[in-house]
Amino acid sequence: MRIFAILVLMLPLAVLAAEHGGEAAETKEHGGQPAASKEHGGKPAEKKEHGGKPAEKKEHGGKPAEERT
Amino acid sequence: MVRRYHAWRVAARACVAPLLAALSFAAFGETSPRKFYVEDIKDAMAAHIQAEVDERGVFHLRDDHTGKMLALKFVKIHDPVRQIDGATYFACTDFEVVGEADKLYDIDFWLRPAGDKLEVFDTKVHKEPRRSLIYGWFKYPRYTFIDDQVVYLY
Repeated sequence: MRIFAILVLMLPLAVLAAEHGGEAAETKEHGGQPAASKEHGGKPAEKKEHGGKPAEKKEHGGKPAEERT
Repeated sequence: MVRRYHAWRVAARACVAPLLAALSFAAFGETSPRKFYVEDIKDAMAAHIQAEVDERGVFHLRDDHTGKMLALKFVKIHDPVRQIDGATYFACTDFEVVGEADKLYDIDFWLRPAGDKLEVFDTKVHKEPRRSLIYGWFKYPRYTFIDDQVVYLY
């Protein structure tokens, strides 16, 4: 019991006796972040109900007739 | 012998080339379609309407969609009149219902050459008069054009 009390009383002294302030910097094996891994490259192909594009609708067909010069 | 053959070949070429040119001009030069202009289309439309109206100036037309006979008065030709392809011309017009000037039909006419003039060969009601509580009478389209072809909307 006496030994335990002595250790508790000495704990603040041990903290004060630390060689440097602050916390130790985090150490890593390598810098940066791990690259994202994917099953396959690219992006999924676009799905459409039908191919091509809608036909153009017009008020009238053809082109304006020419003026006689 | 060889020299005579060569001379014959040169002479044949000299004769055949102009002959072919003359024949192709005769064949295609006369039959190539004459070009018609805005004034020609409007003149042909005026002549067509004048020929179709009765003594009161009423244009009678069977509605190509409903089969109903329409009694109409000519109002105007829309600008611009159009050329559909090398030998097909087109005019869009407004006609009002006789006695009901607010009720307008939009009627399309297709024309093609007949000699040195244009003649109407097809007529369609493009838009019919419909009434809206907000806008009053308006022209409701029956079809649109896709790749110069009529495509009905309903």
